[in-house]
Amino acid sequence: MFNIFREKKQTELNLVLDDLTALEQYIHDLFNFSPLPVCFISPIGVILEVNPALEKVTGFKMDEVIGESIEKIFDKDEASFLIRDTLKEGVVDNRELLLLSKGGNKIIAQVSTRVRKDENNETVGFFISLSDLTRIKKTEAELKRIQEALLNILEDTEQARKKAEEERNKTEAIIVNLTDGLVFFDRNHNLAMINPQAEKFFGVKAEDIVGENIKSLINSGNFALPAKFLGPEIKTVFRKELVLDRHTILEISTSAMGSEGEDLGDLVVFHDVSREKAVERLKTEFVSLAAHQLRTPLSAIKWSLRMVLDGDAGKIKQEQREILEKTYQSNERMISLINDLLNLSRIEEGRYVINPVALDLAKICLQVIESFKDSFSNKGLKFKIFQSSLKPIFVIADEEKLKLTVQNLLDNALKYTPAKGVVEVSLKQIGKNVRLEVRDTGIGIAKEEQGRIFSKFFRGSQAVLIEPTGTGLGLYMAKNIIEGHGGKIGFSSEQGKGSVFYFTLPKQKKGVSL
Amino acid sequence: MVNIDDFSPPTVKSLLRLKGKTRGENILLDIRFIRRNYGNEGVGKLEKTLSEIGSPINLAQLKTGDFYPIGWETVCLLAIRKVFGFDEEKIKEMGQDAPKFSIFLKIFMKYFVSLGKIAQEAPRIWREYYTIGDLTVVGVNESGKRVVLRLDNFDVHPINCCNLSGFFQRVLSMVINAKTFCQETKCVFRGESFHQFDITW
Repeated sequence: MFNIFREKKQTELNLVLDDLTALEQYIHDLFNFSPLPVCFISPIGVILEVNPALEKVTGFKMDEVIGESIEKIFDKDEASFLIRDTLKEGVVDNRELLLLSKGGNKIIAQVSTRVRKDENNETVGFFISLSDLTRIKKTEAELKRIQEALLNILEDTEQARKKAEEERNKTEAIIVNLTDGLVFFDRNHNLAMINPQAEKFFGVKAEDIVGENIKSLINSGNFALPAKFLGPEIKTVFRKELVLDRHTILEISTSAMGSEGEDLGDLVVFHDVSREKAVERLKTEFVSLAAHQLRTPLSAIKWSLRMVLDGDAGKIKQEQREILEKTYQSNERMISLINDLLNLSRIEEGRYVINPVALDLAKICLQVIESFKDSFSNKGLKFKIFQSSLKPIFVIADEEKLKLTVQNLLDNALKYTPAKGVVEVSLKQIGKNVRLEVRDTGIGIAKEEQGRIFSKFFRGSQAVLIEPTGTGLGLYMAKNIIEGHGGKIGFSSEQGKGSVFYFTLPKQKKGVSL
Repeated sequence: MVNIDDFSPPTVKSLLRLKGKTRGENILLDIRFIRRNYGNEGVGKLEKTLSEIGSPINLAQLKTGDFYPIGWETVCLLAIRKVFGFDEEKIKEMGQDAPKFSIFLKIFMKYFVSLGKIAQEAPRIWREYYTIGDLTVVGVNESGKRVVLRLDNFDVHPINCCNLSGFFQRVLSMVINAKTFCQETKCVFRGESFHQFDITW
């Protein structure tokens, strides 16, 4: 009976033992499976258990750390604080510690702990679980680096933005305060910008017209006049005058704007030249008045001198004659100057009337040349004339003004070609045009002065030295006359070697009526 | 005087007849040490030796919690000594390794908080491992860094003394968190009436 009871008890014990063994295996498997590094530490800091995940992260085998101090895998001071805080609080959450690996590396780990208590509620140790933060820290460092880089970029961008804004403000201030009117059309010819001065010129408001295409601006509103002037395709112009009203004259220039080959649009500048024009007009009026007032007494002087020189007032001595001859020549030069000034004022006032008739340019030229022959000869200049055909060459022109032009060109050649030099005049028919050319071996024109040679009152520095009495109006008038006839005038020159001045006029058949 | 190198069949036979039992875990922890250091091949050699000597020990069928004749543990230790050439220090080292992985010791980890507690629980802990022998802590001198253990009624084999010396050394190290040294100062196989282990640190 006793044996049966003992055997039954033994069987029960064996079953419990089997269950415990199975349970142990289960706990063991669970502990080993966990990918989270876990260890169990005694209250005095001895490592009592570790799982394979902890082996993996530290590189220590279980037998190398179990039974060892916690200081083997954690920094001594940090471990000491961890034990103290865990035993005091029962728990530590997410504390960053340095985990020491077998290879001597220090791994940044996030550690959490929980105390374990026995049935009497006494602490028997604590669990530590940890996460390897190496990759996170690396990523964090990388993110921080990227963040810093981005912040730097942002800072640079902000600085660039501020700079751009400053520049924009400056540009805006310049545009707003500019005394010239400015408008900008985009590449589609829509008005993109108009500054206050332009608004004032045309009596428009930016908000009413910005965004409008030039085609619609041409057809209506106060901006129609400049829009028509520019045309639907916004033609390229440079310093062309636009008369707004009796008191306002604007000089218009356009400039195509582009960046890196891309067409951005067209900028149009309106420069108010009303004041300059008014001053110029007053000046011209004064010159005209003065010239008129001077011409009458000068004519009286001329004829008086002529009469004396011709003996109408009695016989004069040779010495007296010489003095009077010089006075007569000076008076002649003054009359010539006055005539030039009068012509100039006529040109500028738009009163320089051309009376065109069909005339033989060759004949005109020969007449003028004839009057110069003695002068060339007296100065010791060799004079040549070339004509491609002996037939008459007809042009429609004002005879008097055309003569004046040829005279001016020959006069310059005479004045500025030293003795023994050569002056050649040629007359050629080129296509539908006729070209007169005066070539000399004179002093030539300095390169830096060539751009102003047709300007009013301009005289080359060398020319002034050789002939101090010139007015600087001859070529200016020649240009106005030729262009007034629809022709072109030009030159080529090399200082010290000579010059070639030429003009072309459209050729006409004889008898064509105007 | 027992010859620690005697692994003859008669010796084995007499050892297998010894009274008293040992937990399967005691043998399995030694096998674990061999497997870790010599792999399954090493364990195979051990099994072969045990078979050749005529022992009934089947290592694969041992269970952690079951009790087996105490001689089985001794025979296994002698077989290990023979197969792998372990000297006494190595047998002691194997004993030091055992507490790290002992499941039964984990049950008593709650006493690993002070020398006083572990000293108090030592007899009970011993009984978890063996059915014979009585372990007591006869001296605890913390300031002098010395603990003395006494083991009575455990006349098994000197090789067990080496192994136990390592076991005690490690357990105490785990309790005080310091490197310890254990020496058997008295032994029944040297003519004394009990075993005494002095542990210092």
